[in-house]
Amino acid sequence: MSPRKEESKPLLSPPPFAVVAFLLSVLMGSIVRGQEDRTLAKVSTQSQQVGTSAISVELRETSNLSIFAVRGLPNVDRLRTLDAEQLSKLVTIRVQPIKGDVVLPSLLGTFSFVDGELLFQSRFPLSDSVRYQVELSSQLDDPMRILPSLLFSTHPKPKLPAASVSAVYPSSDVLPENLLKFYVHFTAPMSRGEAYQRIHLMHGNNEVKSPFLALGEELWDTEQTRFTLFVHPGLVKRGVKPREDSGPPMSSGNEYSLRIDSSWQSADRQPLASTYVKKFRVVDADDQQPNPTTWKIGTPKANTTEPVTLTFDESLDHAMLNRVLVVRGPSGIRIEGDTTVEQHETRWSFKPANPWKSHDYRVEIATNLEDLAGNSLARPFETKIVDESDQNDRAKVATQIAVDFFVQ
Amino acid sequence: MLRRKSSWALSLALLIPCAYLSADSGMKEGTPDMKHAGAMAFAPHGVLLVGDTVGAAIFAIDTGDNQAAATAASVNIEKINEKVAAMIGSSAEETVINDMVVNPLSGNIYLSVSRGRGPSAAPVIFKADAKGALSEVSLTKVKFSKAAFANAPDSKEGARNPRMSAITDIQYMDGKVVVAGLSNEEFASKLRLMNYPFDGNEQSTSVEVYHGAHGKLETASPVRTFVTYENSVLAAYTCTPLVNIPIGDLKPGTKTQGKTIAELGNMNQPLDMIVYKKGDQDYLLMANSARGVMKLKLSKNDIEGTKAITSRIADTAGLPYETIKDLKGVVQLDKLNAKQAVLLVSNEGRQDIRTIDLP
Repeated sequence: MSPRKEESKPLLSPPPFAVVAFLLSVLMGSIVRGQEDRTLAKVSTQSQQVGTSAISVELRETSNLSIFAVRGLPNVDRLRTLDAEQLSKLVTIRVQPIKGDVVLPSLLGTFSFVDGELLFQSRFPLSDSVRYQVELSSQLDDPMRILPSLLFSTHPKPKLPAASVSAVYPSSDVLPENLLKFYVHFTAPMSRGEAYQRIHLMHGNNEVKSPFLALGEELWDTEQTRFTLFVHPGLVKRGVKPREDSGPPMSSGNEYSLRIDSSWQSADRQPLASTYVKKFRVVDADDQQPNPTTWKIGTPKANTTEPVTLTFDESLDHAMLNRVLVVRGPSGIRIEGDTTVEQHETRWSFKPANPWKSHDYRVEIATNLEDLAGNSLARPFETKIVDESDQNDRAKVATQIAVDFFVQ
Repeated sequence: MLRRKSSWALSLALLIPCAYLSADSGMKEGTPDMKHAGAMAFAPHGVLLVGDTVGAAIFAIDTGDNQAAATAASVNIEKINEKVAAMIGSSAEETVINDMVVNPLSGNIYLSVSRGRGPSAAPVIFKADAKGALSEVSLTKVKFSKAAFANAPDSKEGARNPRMSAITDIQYMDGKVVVAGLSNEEFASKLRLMNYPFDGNEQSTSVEVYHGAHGKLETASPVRTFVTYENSVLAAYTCTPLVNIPIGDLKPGTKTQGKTIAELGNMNQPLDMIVYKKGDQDYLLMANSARGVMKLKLSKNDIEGTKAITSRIADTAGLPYETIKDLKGVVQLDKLNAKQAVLLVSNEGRQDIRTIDLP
């Protein structure tokens, strides 16, 4: 194998850059889904000579394109007549196997010829989690000579500072026995697929066995900075087999902790900065729906941007408090502003973007708003079935309620 | 995921409304703006339905794969996750196979894959033919249609949508696409019913399903996986009961009550199910996270005759089931043909595709 020579040219001098940019733009126009690449200025190349032959392979990369260019090929005109499958037998580009005995399929990508070079654009930009090997068939050169394969690696992406847990909700350290879910917030996007190995419910030094609803489709927000962790509903619900067999995962009067391991990896594959522990005490189950008649409203003054506030007699769901309350002004116009949830999710406040006017306003609240045990304004987590008419009555529950207030 | 029904009479009844539809009904040519390829199912004519949890939509893609296979063949692909990862230029650790379905017309196997584990992971769909040869299913310049969820999160926060609905299963049924999902905020039990071909104005509707069991306590637990059987939906819930819901009861905007017909046990999650026929007997085969692969005898009479489980649970409550001892680590399954099933088997980071005779 030839010694590995890599040279990186972050910024090419004008003539070659113009050529590469032209080639890449031609390729992008035909191959990449019509997306404009604004990162061409960052073309980097790595070039390697194939043994003593005239053939060399160059890897040209931008942030979203990776192209292997094979130069110095003899008989290019003959090669042009070959189809992609035939070409891939002469120039094979694949991930280098971790164990030598495995033959991995070659990379998805597209061949083309430009100015006497054979170009292979990989279907995806190269990953820094593997190395790539370029194998050239001896048929390309002197049939008697065995051409070495060349190894390439993409430049490792710059690592962000290690992520950490920024908050866990409910934020209170007193939680009901039938708590239904936690939200874990991170400072940076996290990696999917390991959540349930990294989160533990501890009772003293003992881990509670399988307390959570472990789903292949882990429940993240789009940025993967917030993870929703449901307690296994079969353990929360009364009368179902998991709970009959194991009992509830947490029992009133005891202390528990939620432990989040630092080995949990962020999206750029770094562990968390530290292990996070949330300690809490468990009290009796909450079987009651939130009761809006006990809520207190704090009314702002006209011509100010003081917040309007709602104070509840229990903690409600942090995520839903941020989503399902809407403030409307005269004629039902939605008022823009910022929502804050505080005091262990017992207080919601809304600061308008523009000063209040002297008018009637209302807060609309979707009745799917839940407390910590999954009891919503519309229905308790568990409902006793009395008869069919009872069932039908519940189907008629309003989808929202309103709290009116007057600003003066 | 589509499971061919054991009742051919029912299948015929389901296909009649679509007989006049071509594969590309309601489709246009282009590149679907798919952000994630998760749960999948096949609609008629080789149309692949793909659930996009991140984009809150279902895509219907005309694969053009609509010719019957010449002969039924066993497909076995060792280390499928390593092979798929190599083709997309990545490592097995950075590659996730989200779902596996069989095209009932051709017998080809389809895999939905994420390239990467972060929020910018790219969706890729692969096809494995009867010889086990893998190829990418192109999502560029294809005929497709899209149904966005009617109550997708609003965009007031720009690109960031904290609320998502994870799509846990999809099935095509009688001119409709049925979608089971799980919200990452409210605890809700919803089966979305969408007309297929999608009717463009997002007239998707949602149905809340309650199951009245457990000493007359009911909750709205989410559905994890489901199949259709004899004009009913058999749904496995996250709290692990198996529930029967008559399809006629699934009316948009209503809440309906299912019947718990089996309890599947503790420390366990149902993963995937198929219905098949052997001799004159119908069976349900179910992969589970901790309790292996279960086989249940099914019949309309049994389901109707089974007393709903409404009291404290004995281990054998409801329909009896057996656990297939030889099958371990099965995370996905689908019917390959009348006699065989194809499995995605996971074991310590390695995943294999295996074909078995239906048990």
